[in-house]
This record gives sequence, structure tokens and C-alpha cells, in this order.
Amino acid sequence: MAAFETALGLVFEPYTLAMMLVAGLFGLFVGAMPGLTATMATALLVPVTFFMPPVPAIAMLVTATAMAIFAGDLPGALVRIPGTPASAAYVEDAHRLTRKGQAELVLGCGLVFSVVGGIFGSLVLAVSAPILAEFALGFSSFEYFWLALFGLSCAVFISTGRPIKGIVSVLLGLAIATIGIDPTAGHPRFTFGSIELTAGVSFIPAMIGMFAMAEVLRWVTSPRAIEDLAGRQKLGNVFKGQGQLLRRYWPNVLRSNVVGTAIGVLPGAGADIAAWVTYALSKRFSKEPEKFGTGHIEGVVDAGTANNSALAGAWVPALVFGIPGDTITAIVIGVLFIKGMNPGPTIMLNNPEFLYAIFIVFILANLLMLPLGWLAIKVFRQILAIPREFLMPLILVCCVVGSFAINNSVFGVGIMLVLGVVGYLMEENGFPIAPAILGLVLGEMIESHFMTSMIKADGNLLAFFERPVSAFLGVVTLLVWSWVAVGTIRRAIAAGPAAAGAAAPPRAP
Amino acid sequence: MRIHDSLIGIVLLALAAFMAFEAAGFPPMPGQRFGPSLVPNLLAAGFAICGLVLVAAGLRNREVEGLVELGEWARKGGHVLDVGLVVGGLALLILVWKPLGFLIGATVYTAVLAARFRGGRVVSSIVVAALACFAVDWAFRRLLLVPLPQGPLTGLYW
Repeated sequence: MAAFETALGLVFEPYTLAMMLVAGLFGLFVGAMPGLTATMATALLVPVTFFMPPVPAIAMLVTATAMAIFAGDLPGALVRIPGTPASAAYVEDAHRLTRKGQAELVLGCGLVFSVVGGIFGSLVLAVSAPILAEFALGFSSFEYFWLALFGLSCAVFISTGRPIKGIVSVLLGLAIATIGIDPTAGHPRFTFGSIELTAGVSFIPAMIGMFAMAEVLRWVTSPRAIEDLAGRQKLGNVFKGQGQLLRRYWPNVLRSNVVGTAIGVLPGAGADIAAWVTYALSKRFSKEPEKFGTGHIEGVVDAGTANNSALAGAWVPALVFGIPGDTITAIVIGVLFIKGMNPGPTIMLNNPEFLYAIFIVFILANLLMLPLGWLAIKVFRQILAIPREFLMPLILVCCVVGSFAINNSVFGVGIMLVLGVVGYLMEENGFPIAPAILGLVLGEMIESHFMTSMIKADGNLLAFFERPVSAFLGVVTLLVWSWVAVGTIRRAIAAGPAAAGAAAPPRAP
Repeated sequence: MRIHDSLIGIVLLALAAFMAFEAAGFPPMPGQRFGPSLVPNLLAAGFAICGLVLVAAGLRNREVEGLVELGEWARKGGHVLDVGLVVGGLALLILVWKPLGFLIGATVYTAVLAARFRGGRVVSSIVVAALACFAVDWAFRRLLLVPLPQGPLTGLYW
């Protein structure tokens, strides 16, 4: 209990609260600005958090992302452009409702159900993380190897588009992670004599490049004009009618909370996929499925709840196993390591107050969303009026400073530039980025656990299946692989030449 | 910019060959049959398989013409130049990082891009770029203590 009291003290410090407020406003701004994502908000905040104590640093990241995911609903409803990909699933319904003059209802729904989803996800995180952590204390390198590999497999399997492109993306991330001193023998690999590369490719500049810079490049190559279809609608009390929605759709809300959190927990899948899946489920089980896509609130309730609950869910594997649940927590893990808070089951033993502080911050951030979100709805037109012709170059400058600040070396800026272009080209050609980031973040962990296990087993691969949990995880991972492989082969046979046309993958939430 | 699957496949095959070639030079761990080359070799094998699959898929799919397709945006006048300015400008900024300093370099970069995106409104772009970059420089150098280089302005402002 003492740890909990310490945590309360850490969170309710004026400095932490002030930083949460700043991050909240920043997150709302980034989320409400079409073309800027919640992952980008996180990546841009990282350099600011370098110089902070751990709790305010993490509080900033949690608050900014929660706000950004909600704020993505605003441009979706009012100008028919989802502010973040997590709002894309229901943008059509939200926008059509606005056209019918129900902007208040749909924006209020986005806000209230984001809070509901966020709080549910936070509670799941608070309850499940300590239990899982205790269970995971008995894990050895074999279990960790399989767990990390399972995470990567999920990232490939869940990303839409062709699995082969997801696999290439994962391999690319893992290959980048092999650059530098190898974790077991200490031999430099692929460094080309560069001292900077001996330390490996730091993933903060890599992520700033792949998410923020690639996003700017995408904007540069897009038509850029925003068409304000909604016109000037008067926005009165956005909380009116929300109680009625909750009474009517409570089974939906419950289902979306559970599904959203579960998708968040799965490595590699985040808020955007949670929104798509729950929207589809909502339509499937609805009494009025024909109304979906024509301006029906039900899908907005479902997916709006799920994308925020997924955010908190993604922290479960990140904190307990050090395996990110989505692209945002991939960045967060980097920050945790910088702060000396190595994520893993021992975090509960070594820093329980820190874990409690994260839970409190999550609940607080979601409650803070009510007033701040209300404010964002009121000033949305002013946010949209900020010229993106200025904003985009300035984001690039912030990317440059952020990539420089990680090691105070211009080499980081080079990494950001190269991987920014690579990330842009990958998305343009249907290669999802999230698996590459997961590969990069998990690369060293997978390799060191793999090599340790190989040495323990003296090269005998069957030893990877000797411990019960390890065997279970191994079999599940292999099943996922076979499923993907069989699916790919069957599709290739069935579709013939048409198989090469790939669907666009979802972007980072 | 869409690149033909076959071309991506060939690039992956080349990458696989390169990784395997480099990894062949890594020494094994004493007393073990494997060493630092094991994981790079496994990844190279993965790249090779994916490369072959993509080459085959590309050969079957004849919808995409040409090895590289620039897409709609490239046909709209100037978007190619925009991309060149963003990427080339950033590369240039890295080159002049120390001699020119962050404030001057970033201001020029931001002003050029903003003026370009806003259809040639130069003066306002320069003013806004200078103010914004000054704010970024101040926040990171003074508040967050990131040692951004000041170039010729060293000592001239705080």
C-alpha cells in the first residue's frame, strides 16, 4: 500500500499535472490536425521527455496519445478526413450524421465513449499487469524467445494487405536491429567501419523517421486541399443525449471494450485495427445493419469506444514482457529503457510505485479528456485554420531536433532521413510499417534470448519445446505461421495473376 | 511511388546475398557450432525466400507497367520538386549542421519549404520560419539543454 501512496504522490505533483495538461493540449492538436497521427505525437514528444523524471515523462506520453485518438474524431465528423487512422473506420457515419445536423451528438459521442473505453482499458491494465507479471517471473529465455516471436508473427498476421509484405517488413526491422555489436559474442556486424553504427541504429530516430517524416512526405505528395463539407454548424451542449446512447447501446459498449482491449494487448495491433474490427462486429450484430455507412451512430459508439480501450491494452505486454502492443508502446518501451525502467515482470518487484503511477495516470488522463476534449470541440475551427504549409516544415524541424537529441549527434538525423524515405516508400508499396518497427524494437531481445537458449540447449532445437509454457507458446506461434502460409498459398492458387494487387495497409494509430 | 514487385524482389535477393556474404566473415563463438552469423544468416534466408516470391508475383502481375510508377502526384506540376526540396534540403541541413548552426540552417530550410508550399509568399514565410525556429532553438537549447550548434552565431545570442 505504501507503494500506491508513493505513486499517488508522484502523479499528483504540480509538475506532473502541469506536464499532463500541456501534453493533453498537444495531443488534441496533433489528433485534430488531419495527417498527423497519435504515434507521431508520441515520437515528437520523446525528445522533450529525455530530461524529465520517469513519471511525468510517461504521464505526458499517456495523456497525449489518449487525447490524440479522441481528437482524430473531430476532423472525421466535420470535414470527413480522419484526424488519425484510428478514426477512419467510422468517418463516413460520423460525417453523414454531421450533415444531418447532428454534429453535437456525434462529437459528444466520440468524447464520452472515448473516455468510457479509455477507463475500461486502464482498469484491465491495472488488474491484469500485476497478475501476468507474477506469472511471467518464471519465464526463461525459451519463453521470452517464443513470446517475442509470437508478437512479431501477430504483427504480420494482423496487418492487412499481403502477408508476404508484412514478413518482409518484419525481416527488415530485425535486419536493422542486427547492425552493431552482437549481443552474445560482442562482434561488430554490418558497421562498415563506422563508430556510430557500432552502437546500433537507435530506434527513436528510426521511429521519428518512419512515422513523422514519412507522414510529411505523404502530405507533400497528396492533393493537400481540405474541403470543409460540414459548413459552419453551431455546436451547443455536446453531452446532451449521451446518457440515452449509453442506455441503448450498453451491450455494444461492453463488447467493444473487451474486443478493443484484447486487440490492444495483441502485439502489433493497435487502436486503428481495434476500430475496424469493432465497427465490423457492430454491423454484424446490429439490428439495423443496413443503416451503417449512411449516418448511423451505433458504429461510432462501438469503434469510438474500442480505439481508446486498445490504447491501454497495448501497455499490458509492453510493461509485463517488454513486448510492445502497438506502435505507440514501441516508442514508450524505448523511453522506459532510457529512464532505466526496464520493462519486464520484475518491474512489479523493483518499481511497484512506478507501475501504480502509470495506472493512476491512465485513469486521470481519461478523466482529463472530458474538459479538454470539450474545449477542443469548441476551438476546432481555429485548429483547422492553422496553415499546414507552415506546420509541415516545422514538424520536419522538430523531427531533426528530436533525432539529434537522442545522442547529441547529427548521425541520428541521418538515420531519421534514410528511414523516413524508406518508410514512405514501404507504405506506398503496401508494406506495413508497424511490423518493421516491432522487428527493430524486439530484434535484440529476440536474438539474445535465441542465442542464450541455443547455448543452453547446445544447439538442440527440440529444447525450445521442453518446458510446458515454452512448448505452448512455440506451438501457438508455429500455428500462426502455418495459418498465414496456407492462406497465402491458397489465395495465390485461387486468384492467379490478380493476387498481386495489394490492399493498402492500415497506418499507425 | 509504386515500385514493381519484381524489382523489390530483386533488391531483397541482393540484400540477402550481401548479408550472407558479410556474415560469412563473422567468427564463430568459442566452443559452439554457431555464432554472431546465425541470426543474420536466418534473416538472409528469409529475405531470399520473400524476394523469390515477390519476383514470381511480379512476373505474373502484368497490370503494373514499367519498373517504377510515380503515381498521380508526380504528374501534378511541382510535386516532384517539393519532395526533392524536403529530402535534399534535409540532407543539406545535415551537411551544414556544424558550420552553419541549427538556427540559420533550420530557418532557411523552413522558409524555403513554406514559401514553396504557399505559392511563393517569401517575406511572410521567412518571418514565420525565423520566429518558429528561434522558439524551437530556445526551447531545446536553453530549456532542455540539447547542445544544438550555433555556428557563426555562437556567443551572439543566448
